[in-house]
This record gives sequence, C-alpha cells and structure tokens, in this order.
Amino acid sequence: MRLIWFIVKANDSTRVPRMNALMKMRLRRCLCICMALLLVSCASAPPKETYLTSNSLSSIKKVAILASANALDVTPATQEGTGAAGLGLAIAVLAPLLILPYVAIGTAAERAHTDSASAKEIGTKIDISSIEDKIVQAFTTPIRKASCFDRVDYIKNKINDDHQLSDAGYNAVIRLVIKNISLTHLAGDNFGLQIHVQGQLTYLRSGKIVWDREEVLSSPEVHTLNYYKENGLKELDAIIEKAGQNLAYDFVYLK
Amino acid sequence: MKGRSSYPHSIVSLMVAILLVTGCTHILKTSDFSTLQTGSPLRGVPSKTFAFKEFKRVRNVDDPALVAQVGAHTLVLDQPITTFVANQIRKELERNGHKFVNISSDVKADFIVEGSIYDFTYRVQQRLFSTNQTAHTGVKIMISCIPTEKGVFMKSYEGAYTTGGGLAGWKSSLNQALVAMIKEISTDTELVEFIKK
Repeated sequence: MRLIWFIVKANDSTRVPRMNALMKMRLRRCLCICMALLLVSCASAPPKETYLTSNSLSSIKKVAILASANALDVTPATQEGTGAAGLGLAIAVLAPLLILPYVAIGTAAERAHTDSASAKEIGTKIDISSIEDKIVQAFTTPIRKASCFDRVDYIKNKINDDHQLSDAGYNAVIRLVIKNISLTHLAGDNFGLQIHVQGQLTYLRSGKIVWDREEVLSSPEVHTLNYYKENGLKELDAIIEKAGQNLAYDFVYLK
Repeated sequence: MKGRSSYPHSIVSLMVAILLVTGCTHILKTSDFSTLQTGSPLRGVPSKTFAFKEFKRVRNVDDPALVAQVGAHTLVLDQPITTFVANQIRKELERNGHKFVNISSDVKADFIVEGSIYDFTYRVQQRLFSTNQTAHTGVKIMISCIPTEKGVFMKSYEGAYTTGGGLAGWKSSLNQALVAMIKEISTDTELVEFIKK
C-alpha cells in the first residue's frame, strides 16, 4: 500500500507542461486501478474443482485409468520462499555495501548443499512407476469393491490418446496425476512431506470433464531429512494411499 | 487553477492510504466459508444422532472471534470461533445423513461430541523477495457413546494452507485450512469404524 501511494504520489508530482489536466487525471486513475489489481492478484486462488453428480456415472460401464507422477521436489532451508537466485542476487548487491556475516552465509550455503545431497539420495529411492501403481491401487480398490463400474482397467503402457481408448471400448478415462511430491523445510532441521494429486474423469465420446478434483495432503508429522532417507518411502506410501482413497470416496459415496 | 483539479483525488488517495497503512479491523463472514462437496465414508454409516457440547478454545483471548493480529490489522470472524468450528462439523455430519441436537439432561442421542480448538491462526511471513501466508486450524474431538461404557473416541485433526501473496488472501487461506481439517474428520476411517460399532 505504501508503494501504491508512493507511485501515485510520484506521478502527481510529475509536471509535464504539454499534458492536460484531464489526461493526467485519467492516467492517475488507471495507475491506481492497475496497482490495486496487482495487490489483489498477489494472493493465488485455490484451484476450481468439478464434483460428480448422481447421474454423472450412469452412462459409464467401462473405464480406463491412467496415472503419472513427477519426481521429488525439495525446498531446502536457505531457499524457503525465495529461491537460490534471489539469495544470490541479494548477496551480490549487498556485499559491497555491508559487512557481511560471512560465517552465517557460509553455514547456510553448506546447509543448502547438505540438504540438496540428502534430497538427491531420497529422490533416487523413489521409483516413479511404483508410485503410479500405488495411487492407482489405492484409488481402484474401493471403487472395485463398491462396483461403481462394470470394468476398471489400469492402462500402464501410457496410451494417452482418448480416441484409442474409445476405440478399445472404454466410455471414460480417469487420469490420476501426482503433480507434486515435495519435502519443504519447516523449522529447525524438520521437513514436511506433501503430495498434490489431481483426479479427472473425462467422457471419451464428448471429451467433457465431469470430475476434476485435487487432493493436497501432508504427512501428519515432520521429520529430518535423515529420517526421510530411512523411512521416506513408508511415509510417502501412507499419504499416497490416503490421497487415492479420498479421491475414490467421491465415487463410492456418491449420493 | 488547473492544478487544483487533482486535489480531491489526492485527498481521497491520501485518506485511503492512511487507512490501509495504519490498519483496521477486517471481519470475515462465516457464511462465506465453503463446505465440503466431496465423498465421505461417514455417508456409509446408518444415520446417528450427535449431541454437541459447547466447544472450548485453548488459546486465551479477550475476543472469542479474534483470528489474528497482523501488524495494525485485526482479523476477526463474525461469530466466536468455537461456535463456528462446531457448526462446520455439524454441517458435515448433516451432509452425510446424520442428525445433531444440543446437549441437555434428557437428550436422546447416540453420541456426545466435545471439542477443543487448539489452533485457528493466520500468519504472514515476509521473506527476502516474497510474502507467504499460512492458515492453520486444529481441533481435538472427543466423541463418547451413550452410555459412555460403550467407548470413547478421541483424536486431533488439523488443516493448513500456505500460499503466496499478502493480507488480501487471508479469508481464502483460512477457508482452505478449515476445509482441509473438516475433510480430515470426514475421511477418517478410525472415526467411521467407531461410529459404526
């Protein structure tokens, strides 16, 4: 807000002789609106979801399930909320002007390096294919048990073309996407494990998306990276299981 | 004289700027909070009646509706937080086919629900080149069978939501954190098993 005021005020004090008063007023109004919109847009809105209705599934007999996952993403302690580029830039700008606390920066850099090495080690233990299988299993088990569809097939060979699936006799496709698996530094040595999963159901005939849901789940407890080196997979399995189940509940407990 | 035409705008801008910089009270209408629309295993349980006791708040504050004080800005709900959280849990039970009543000596219910809110906070963290806002909610629930000899269920549920941006998104962040907590309750298989017994 101080910035908006400063910019509007700075514009006020600009005296361009050839600019008439009306034009200046319009310019000032535009500037105010732009700055206000900029401020409001700083807050990112949560994703819009599409929920199933009671007749959404009536025409679906045979459904194909596709899954995909992204690799582990780790936000180390020193990059929290800013990014390494930001920190580097700050150091480059401020170094000549200030007496830098070299020891602190050295420790932070060392910490980032250690975190990054640990993250790499944890990341190599995560098999993307087995994670995809895990989310599909967690999702399809309750759906099959509740007989939501006549047939549910997990298509593992990455057919991503709706026409091919339609030709194979499927009425709809459910895509399960693990958009993000992240370890984020929280406090001290502790990191939180979080996953972001998206589920989408598309009618193959019309291409219409009738179900679009996101599940963002965190592990109930925070741990050190050393803990995740040993038990990360177990922790990850537990929240993937929960995310898959939560998405399946939309089908199983449909009104 | 031409320069004078900009005075009214400058005065209004100055007043708005002073108001925003010095701070004010922001009220969040609880009717604006969204409710869950996702599937819940609570729906798979035959209808039960829950008697709600008044919820408590662990944090001692003068204003029961106070969420946070961010700089000079006071963020409050339009009703006490304890009432609001209890209502959201009731709504979720109702949505899944259950009933609720207020506690009284001659109440006929299957369960008594007590709750203690230990977290209902909002924080803005200023970093080097960005601002993060985080909302947290947490409630400890105790559900007792009637008669209590049949068993007691006790568990804590939490919800959190972190996003970029400043104070402008506090309502949305708090909403998301609360929805996440209600979803935790609504999809908890241990709770469902207890109610099914």
